[in-house]
Amino acid sequence: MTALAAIVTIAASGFAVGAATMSDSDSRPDERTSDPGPVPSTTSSSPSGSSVAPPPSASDLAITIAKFAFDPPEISGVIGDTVTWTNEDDVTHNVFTSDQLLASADLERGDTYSIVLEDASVIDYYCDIHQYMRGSITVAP
Amino acid sequence: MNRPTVLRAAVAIGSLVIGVVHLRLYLDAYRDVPIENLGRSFVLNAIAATFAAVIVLVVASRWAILVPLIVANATLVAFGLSRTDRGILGFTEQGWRPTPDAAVAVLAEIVTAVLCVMALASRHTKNSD
Repeated sequence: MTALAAIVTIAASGFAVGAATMSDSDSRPDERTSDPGPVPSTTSSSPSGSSVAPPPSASDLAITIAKFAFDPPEISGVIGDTVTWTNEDDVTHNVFTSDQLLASADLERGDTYSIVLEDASVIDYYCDIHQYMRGSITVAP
Repeated sequence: MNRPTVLRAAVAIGSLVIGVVHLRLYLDAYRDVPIENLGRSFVLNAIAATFAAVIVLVVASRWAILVPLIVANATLVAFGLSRTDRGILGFTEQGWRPTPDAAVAVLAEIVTAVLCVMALASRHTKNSD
C-alpha cells in the first residue's frame, strides 16, 4: 500500500507542477491592437528577393528570423527606413517590444512584418513566444 | 487479452507518442535552438520514451511500469518549466506552441501517466487478493 501511495504521489506531483506552471503561459501582454509608433505591416508572403545591394541611403533593412534567433541581432538605421522581419523557421515567432511599440501578429514560416522608423531611439525588441530571442535597432535622425 | 495486458499496451503506445512528438520537434526545428543541450534533451526524451515503451511490454515486473510513469511525468514537468519566466536550460516558450505538437505531447503524457497508475493499482489489487 505504501508503494502504491508513493506512485500516486509521483504522478500527482507531475500533474501539479505542469498545471501550476502553465498558469503563467498567458500572462504575457497580449493586447496587440494598440497603435504602435512605427508604421507596421504584416504579410504572409516573402518580400521580393532582389540580389541588388541597395544604395547607402536606401530605406530597406532586412532581419531574418532563423534558428530561433534574429539575424542580425543588432542593426542601425535612420528615420524613414523600413525594417522587415522574415520568419524562416518552421516554428512560429513574433516581434514585440515591452511598450507594445512593436507588436506583430504571429509569423509563420515565410511571413513578414515591416515597420517604418519614425523616431531617433534604440528599439529593443524580442520574440514574445521565445523571450530569450532579442534584438535591437538603433535609429539615427 | 486481459486488462493488465491492455493497460500495458496502452502505456506503451502513449510512451511512443511522447517519443515520436519530441523526435519530430527535434528534427523539424528544435535542434537549431542556440541553447546548449536543449536540442539534445528532445532526443534524450525520444530515446527514454521508446525505452519505456519496450520495457513495459517486455518486462513483466510491476516496477517496469514505473519507467513510463517517470518519463511521462518528467516530460510534463519539463514542459511546465519551459512556460515559466525561468524556463528550462534557459529555454522559454509561451502557450500551446508549437501547434498542435505541444497539446498532443501533453495529452499523451497525462494519459500515459494515468494509465500507468491504473496498471499499478490493478496489479496492486491483484496482489492483495
